[in-house]
Amino acid sequence: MRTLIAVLAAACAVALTPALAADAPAAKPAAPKAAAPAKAKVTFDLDKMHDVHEKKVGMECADCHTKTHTDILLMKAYANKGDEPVDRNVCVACHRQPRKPAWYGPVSK
Amino acid sequence: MKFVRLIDTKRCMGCRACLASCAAENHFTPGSPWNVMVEYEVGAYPAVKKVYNTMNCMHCEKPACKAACDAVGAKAISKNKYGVVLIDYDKCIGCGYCAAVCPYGAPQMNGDALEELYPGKGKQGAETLAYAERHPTHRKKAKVAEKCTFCWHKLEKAISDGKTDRIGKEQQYTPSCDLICPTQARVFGDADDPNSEVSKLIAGKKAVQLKKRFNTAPQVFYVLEEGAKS
Repeated sequence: MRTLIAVLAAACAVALTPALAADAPAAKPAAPKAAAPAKAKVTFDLDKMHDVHEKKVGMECADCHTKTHTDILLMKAYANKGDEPVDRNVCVACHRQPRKPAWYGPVSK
Repeated sequence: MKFVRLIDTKRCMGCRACLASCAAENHFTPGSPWNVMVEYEVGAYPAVKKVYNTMNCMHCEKPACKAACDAVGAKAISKNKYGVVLIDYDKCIGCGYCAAVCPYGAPQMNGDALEELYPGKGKQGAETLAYAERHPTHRKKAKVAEKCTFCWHKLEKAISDGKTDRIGKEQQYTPSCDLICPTQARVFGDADDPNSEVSKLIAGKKAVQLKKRFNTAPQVFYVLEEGAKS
């Protein structure tokens, strides 16, 4: 068994030598890949929220972060948080369109 | 049975007793309040008025927070048969989508660590209860969303005690913010009962839901001052 392991290790070393040599300055041993947890905690995923709207949908910052916030109830409710909330009137305009995640009910008649 | 609340802003004088009672009852993390007071003025000088509008979770019929939570896959938000929208802290992944979509700003994200209600003064009131002895809605966790539960721990007790007729009348069976109001600006009860006080007041005072344009069908109704935001 020991012999077999030694042979395999030697074979790996030989096979990897050119690759390592070509990459000589950065020839650090690769860290083992950790298995992804089944359900990761994604606390305060504001970056993801921005990624979805900026990179995937192609929106500009000002499309959501408008300077014409009229919803005083939401503004004041968030007053203790420090950050200006995104006006949900902007959200609802898109999130009622077909093929968009529907957070809000259909327009009431 | 469907629980609803009526808030009469014409009676509210902005004393914030409702906020204080909620803080004491639910010992929410400072900075993540379950109940906030929004103040603003309406009218033009000299005919101006101050509006006091307390905002808590509206326990919507079609909650945007639940739609977002389900879409993310966490499924931490539920709406029970009594109309109460609750967050399961064990299932919450802390993504903040519920807070991002709620038109009312109700869900509040807890920080990296739970804070005491009165920082530096030690645990107070319900905070002194051992974690396991608390109602599930009070088993606070860092990095999750919290919000008003309509004091579900009290409503649940009323249901299990067979005292649903005392909801809105007795402190132990009624959300803490409601009976504490010194001007009786808040009324809580069963909307399915047309003879309940809250049903009569909603109809009689022509109470409205806020931000109906989002069509989430809130279960908190307001009697608004003329010119007040809706």
